[in-house]
Amino acid sequence: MFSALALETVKVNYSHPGLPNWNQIHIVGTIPEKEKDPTAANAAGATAIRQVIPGNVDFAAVKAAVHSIATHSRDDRARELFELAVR
Amino acid sequence: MRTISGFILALGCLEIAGYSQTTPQSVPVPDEGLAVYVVRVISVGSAQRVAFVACLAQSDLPFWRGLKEKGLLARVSVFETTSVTKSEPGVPVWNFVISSQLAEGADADSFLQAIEKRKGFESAGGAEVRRMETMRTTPNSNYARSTAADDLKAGESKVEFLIEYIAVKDTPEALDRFSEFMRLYDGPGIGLLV
Repeated sequence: MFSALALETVKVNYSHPGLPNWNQIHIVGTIPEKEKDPTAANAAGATAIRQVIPGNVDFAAVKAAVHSIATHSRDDRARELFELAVR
Repeated sequence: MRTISGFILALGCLEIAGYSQTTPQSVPVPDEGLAVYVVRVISVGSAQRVAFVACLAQSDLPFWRGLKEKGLLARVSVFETTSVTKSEPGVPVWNFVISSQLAEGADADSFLQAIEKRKGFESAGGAEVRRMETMRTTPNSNYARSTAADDLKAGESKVEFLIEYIAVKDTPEALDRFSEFMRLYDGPGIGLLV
């Protein structure tokens, strides 16, 4: 994984009629070459989980609870136009 | 509407067998504090795509650089959709996202007034802002890499971006629960993978 950024809505300044009403945007940069192998990617993810979830936490229950309150309005794949970036 | 699957991600979709028998280890802490963004979601017709990008380069980019020099902006990133993998049916479409990270201490309303007053790409035909919002980074979940050196590396590695638009039930309890999940589990987990 190259990068990750999670944003939450503070204020909607304008929304086109009919647009989904999301309140979170997550932007995750991935390196296709490194993530071609799903087994290796899953193993890396499982290792990360083991490192961040305390032993007394039922992660499956936590995840289920989150699933019950959050839905994806839309998921995209995208490229960044680096020539237009300001750094 | 679909159930959550992405950023919740990489982690939520993975096998978790055995996790409860391990001792939690130290996890990385994002190297930046909370930041404020203005995000614009834009629809551009395919026939106008080249003109739109050219307008951004010739008109908006110098303007953004000026705002950075004035201490209002920190960074700008422009994303173009390459494919939509999930969507609610029948909703308006969009294919560009401009995320503007404000400089530390800068006022979002001042930035919004500046772009509203000026009208860059908005004054050119064929581009329509679908949504404009002020956002803040979710605590412990910011691993953005947006330096010039990072851009070079991203280009070399052919980095592809997943952009997820997530609707969390709009109650204080649900928003707190989601934020806590991100802060305690998802964000730190992602930090280990970045």
